[in-house]
Amino acid sequence: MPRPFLYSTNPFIKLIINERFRKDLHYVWCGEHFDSKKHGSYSSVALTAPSSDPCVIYKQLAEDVARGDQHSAKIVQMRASLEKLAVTWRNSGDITPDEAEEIVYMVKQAPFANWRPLVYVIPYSTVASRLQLVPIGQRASMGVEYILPDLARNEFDIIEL
Amino acid sequence: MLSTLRKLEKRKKQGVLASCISDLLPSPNEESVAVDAETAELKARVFDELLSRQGLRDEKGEIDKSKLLRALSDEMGAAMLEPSQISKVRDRVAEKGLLDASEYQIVFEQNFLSNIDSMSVTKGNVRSAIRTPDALTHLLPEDFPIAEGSAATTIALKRYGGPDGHTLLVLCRREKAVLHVSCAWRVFDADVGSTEMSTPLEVLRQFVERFGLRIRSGEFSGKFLWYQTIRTTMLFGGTNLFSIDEYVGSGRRVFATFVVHAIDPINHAVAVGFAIDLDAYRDAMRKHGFN
Repeated sequence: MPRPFLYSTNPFIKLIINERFRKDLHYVWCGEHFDSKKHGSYSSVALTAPSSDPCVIYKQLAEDVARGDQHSAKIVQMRASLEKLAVTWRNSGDITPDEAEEIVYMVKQAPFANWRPLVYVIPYSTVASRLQLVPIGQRASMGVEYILPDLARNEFDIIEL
Repeated sequence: MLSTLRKLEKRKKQGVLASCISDLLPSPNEESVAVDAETAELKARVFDELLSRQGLRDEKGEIDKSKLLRALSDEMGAAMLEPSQISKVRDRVAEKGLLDASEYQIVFEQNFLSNIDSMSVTKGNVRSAIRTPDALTHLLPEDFPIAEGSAATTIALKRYGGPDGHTLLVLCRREKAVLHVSCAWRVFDADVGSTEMSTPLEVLRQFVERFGLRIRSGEFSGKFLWYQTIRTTMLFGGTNLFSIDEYVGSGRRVFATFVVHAIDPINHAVAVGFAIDLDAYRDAMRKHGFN
């Protein structure tokens, strides 16, 4: 039986970029549990890899931002991911060449505060029909993960812990 | 710039780097990037070239993926943002209100400097409110008939706690990466009602409602104009677009700010317009201990 909510951790800057450049449609990976460590070790939830666990991502990113860690692997990863997405979106015609440059400029110049993590809380029932189950070969672990390529802003709430 | 990429066309270069980055992102990664045989060959050469650099492997000779990703990110930045274009990109980002507050240049308008003492603020107060705001909003409705550089506005709020807690409100006109400070006001809940849950625009409205004077222009009569197109009476020989529409005793001081653009002789687009009764504001500030 599906859980009532799905969870996804994303940096603040990604929210803004999707809002302003992608017509407020958000491409997210999400899972049925926020913190897999809170579940029993004999539960399949415990198989979720740390790199896919919204709680682990949140804590790691929040810590790096608080410390102003210039070498944060998480921030480097997210920055590179957004730069890559700018190219992908431009090539597919979702954004203009100017907008792709603007996204890259924003992520290059973003202060630490803009990398602070946000938790997206997504009611399962509103997005159930659009959930794409990530093939197990692409997952970081056996834990269930979904992709939502077109999550609208009115379909999720945001919390900061 | 990597020698592998140097002679490539710009988009090709960016595509190769995007694909290299994609390979290094852990699952869950994002949307995939299609790769042809030529790109695959170029990617292999990019990785070889990067890994030949010092510092991208740890002491055991293992690849440091984070450093490799950072190097690719740096290359992507250089491939996307040509030095000669950076300031233009920055201006576009700024006009959209997406530049970090710390990156905007702050310019004080003469009308503000002439009234700064009456506003009970300092330049330092204003800089602080803009650089480290508690709330900041960049505004420009998409359907407003005036170009971004002429009519974009920014409102910054800085909250001060304690027994004399209040909010410092700064209104700026935004032009590319420059914020032109139009005015700044200390807003006390005792004067305007609770502002704790208010957005910057709502705080400005509350303030103008309390200390603003009624203004009139053509069909418009009220205290606050905000991104409105109004029909005026300028065609009938008037010289002032706006007039104060209530009795103001002689000698009373008024601070007015209007960002207006004529669409035609009759219709004017007003980004922002209001007039503050400076003496009433000063009286209130004195009660709060600001001279």
